[in-house]
Amino acid sequence: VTVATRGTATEGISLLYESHWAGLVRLVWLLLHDQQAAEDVAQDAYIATYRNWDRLRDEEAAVAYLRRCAVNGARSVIRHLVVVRRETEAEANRADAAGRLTAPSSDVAALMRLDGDQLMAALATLPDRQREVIVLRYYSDLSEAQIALALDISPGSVKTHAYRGLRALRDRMEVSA
Amino acid sequence: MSDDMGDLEDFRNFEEGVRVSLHNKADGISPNHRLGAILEAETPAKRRTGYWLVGVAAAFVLVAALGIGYLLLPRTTASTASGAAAPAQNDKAGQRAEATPLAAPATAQASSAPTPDAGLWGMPVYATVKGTASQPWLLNPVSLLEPYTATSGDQATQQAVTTLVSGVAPDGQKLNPYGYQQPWKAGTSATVTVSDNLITIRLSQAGKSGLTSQQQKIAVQGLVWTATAASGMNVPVRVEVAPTTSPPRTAASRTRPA
Repeated sequence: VTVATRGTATEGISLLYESHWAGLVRLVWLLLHDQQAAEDVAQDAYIATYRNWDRLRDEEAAVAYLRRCAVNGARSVIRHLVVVRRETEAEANRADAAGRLTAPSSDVAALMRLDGDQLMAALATLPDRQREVIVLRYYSDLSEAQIALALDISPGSVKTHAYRGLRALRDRMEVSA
Repeated sequence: MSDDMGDLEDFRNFEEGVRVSLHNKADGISPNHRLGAILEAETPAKRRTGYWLVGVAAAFVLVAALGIGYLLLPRTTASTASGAAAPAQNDKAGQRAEATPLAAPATAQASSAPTPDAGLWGMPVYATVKGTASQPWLLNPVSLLEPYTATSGDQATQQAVTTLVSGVAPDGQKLNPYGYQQPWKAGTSATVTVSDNLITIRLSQAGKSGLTSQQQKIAVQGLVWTATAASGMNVPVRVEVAPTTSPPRTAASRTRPA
């Protein structure tokens, strides 16, 4: 039984890979602006889905779970960068006090500067939820219900985040224009 | 009215612009293939079994190693812990250490105990993650969206600490932030007791061997921050390791007096 189940899971995850791998990596890339990190996050999302395959009732549930894992993973990367940046800056400040080296630029800020597109830069400044909703809605073309499922929030919250996120994007791009 | 319509049209144009721009940017990415790595990661034979030490020697090494971490903690993370018990002050119940928690960081996910009618709560867990060259491990605040099943703040604290130690939330969700490092051995359980002025965490076994003092310190700090964030209490936290000669207690202990 175990072998059969594992075989089914392997086939299922392989099909899911064929249909969603590239899209998922690109979705995460829009959240992180780092292809290597996006592939790592997407890979972890697939592994988690593979591991929990037997508990997912159908392909739709598997795709929703995959997206949720990917978005959560992207958020973890961003938080990790923030934590590391804070520590690096603290170290740099200590080092500066001793005159040893200058403060390195923040990882996130560096990523933003590397991408010259105003939209990408503005997107990176949005709160997590707004950024995720914007990307899932306008890149992945998901419905409000699908976004709600992927982010584990209510459809009403999706509307709110989408509206606020879009307004904020437009305001910031107008300011920087 | 016409201004409103104009605004709406502008907004829709902007929406479309966002859609096109996102596709233009993302569609230029050519992902590398990783199906092999995905399938390989879940092959049963590849699953990590850990490098556990067994028997008396293991108990001695691990308790001693973690004890060093405890010893360092009051000096390096808490300015008001000078009166805390040092690891040398063992009693028969096992190794003990006590640390006054730092003030909750600004990024703490929960500043007060959740309420039972909340339905869901963002369970705060301070996970150990890869850091910098000089600080190999750091703490990353993670908020796990969980059904609120606890009947008290004490149980909620128990759940958060158990999730940190086991790496698995009550609903089966894996604690897996980017760069995650697990300092606790598989099968480790934690029993949390909350009183008005002290939180006690009793671990069934000590942490992994081979950790540096910095890693040990961060591991214990994660316990302290998780317990205080989940409980919403800024009180000292005592961490104990159960003795190897008697079975650890398994149930959460007394309820905090009203």
